[in-house]
Amino acid sequence: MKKILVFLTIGISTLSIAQPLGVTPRKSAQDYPSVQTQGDLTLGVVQLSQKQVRKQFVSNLGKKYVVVEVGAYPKTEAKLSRLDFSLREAGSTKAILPADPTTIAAAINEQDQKGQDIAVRPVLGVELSTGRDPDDPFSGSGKRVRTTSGAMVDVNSKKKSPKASAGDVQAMSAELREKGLPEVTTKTPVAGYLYFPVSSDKPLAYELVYQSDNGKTVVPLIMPSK
Amino acid sequence: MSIRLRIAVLLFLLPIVFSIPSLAGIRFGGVVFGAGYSHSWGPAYGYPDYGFFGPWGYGYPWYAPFYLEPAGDRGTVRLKKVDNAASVFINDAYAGLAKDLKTIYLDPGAYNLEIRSPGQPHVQKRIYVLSRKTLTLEF
Repeated sequence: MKKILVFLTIGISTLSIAQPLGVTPRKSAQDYPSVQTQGDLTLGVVQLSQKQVRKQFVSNLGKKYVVVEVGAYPKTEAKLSRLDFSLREAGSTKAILPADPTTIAAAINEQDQKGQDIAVRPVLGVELSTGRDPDDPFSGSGKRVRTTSGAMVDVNSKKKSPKASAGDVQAMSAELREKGLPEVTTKTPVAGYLYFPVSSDKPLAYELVYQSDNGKTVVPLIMPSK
Repeated sequence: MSIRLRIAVLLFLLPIVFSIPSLAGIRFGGVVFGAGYSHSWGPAYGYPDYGFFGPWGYGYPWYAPFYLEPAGDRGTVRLKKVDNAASVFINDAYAGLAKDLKTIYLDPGAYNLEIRSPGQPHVQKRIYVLSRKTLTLEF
């Protein structure tokens, strides 16, 4: 019985470690550019710029996703779910739901394998020649060392090996999931990212909508500089 | 061209080749070394030296060049500003001393990287390695 309890404890602690972690929340919700309170829950929100996305993520999210950092500061216990959040263009009613990290990872991986991979390699050569040229009666004999240098350009398909492809999807999925907004019931502040797929490359003004049992809250997002 | 001059040109060109900024879709994929030996070609008397017989892309008796591409389908992790005496742990397993692990090649995936410097608090980072990509970490 004791052994079972020990295994159960280890199992539960492993599960709790494996829970999505999110990112470290800022000191207070007021440290975020946009703040909104709904009942006992205060939300601090910021939209990441393209530069910040490139710096924060190894995964190539590009311009196809709007990444929003959400900090949740509950006064009492609050239940957070990613699907309680949606994004919409300012003035529009069309809601965009956050994408699933595994789906995003698979899409990025497919996109990354399109086109050509151009590899430039410096080339160094050392040649040693001895003897005479049998086709040239006037040639002398002797030794000569010749060094050559240049650059070799390799053009290959970006297609990865199945092992590398599966590994990349796993790594990107883990990154996006672990940095994502944790889906937890919590009394303490938590923070994480939400990834909204967008069709337009152009920077637009967006609003984050939070829908819970207590009602709907709209947080206008400040458009980030490049 | 004298050998000394050729070596000087080679040494001059190398940093230029390495310092060319990589453009989108272009990467530097390692170095190619070649070596060859010819028994029949010698310095030709009275002929200008206009042959270019590199040790790659040329038939017998030149040998195939050696392609040095250590990463391959792996990802590269570079450790910067790390104490040489620090111990590096990957997923809680000892990987070696930082002085020997400035560049680490790993299969794509998520890892826990820990740096344990003597007399310093341990630094742990969660890293995500992608194939053919380089991740630079500063400590």
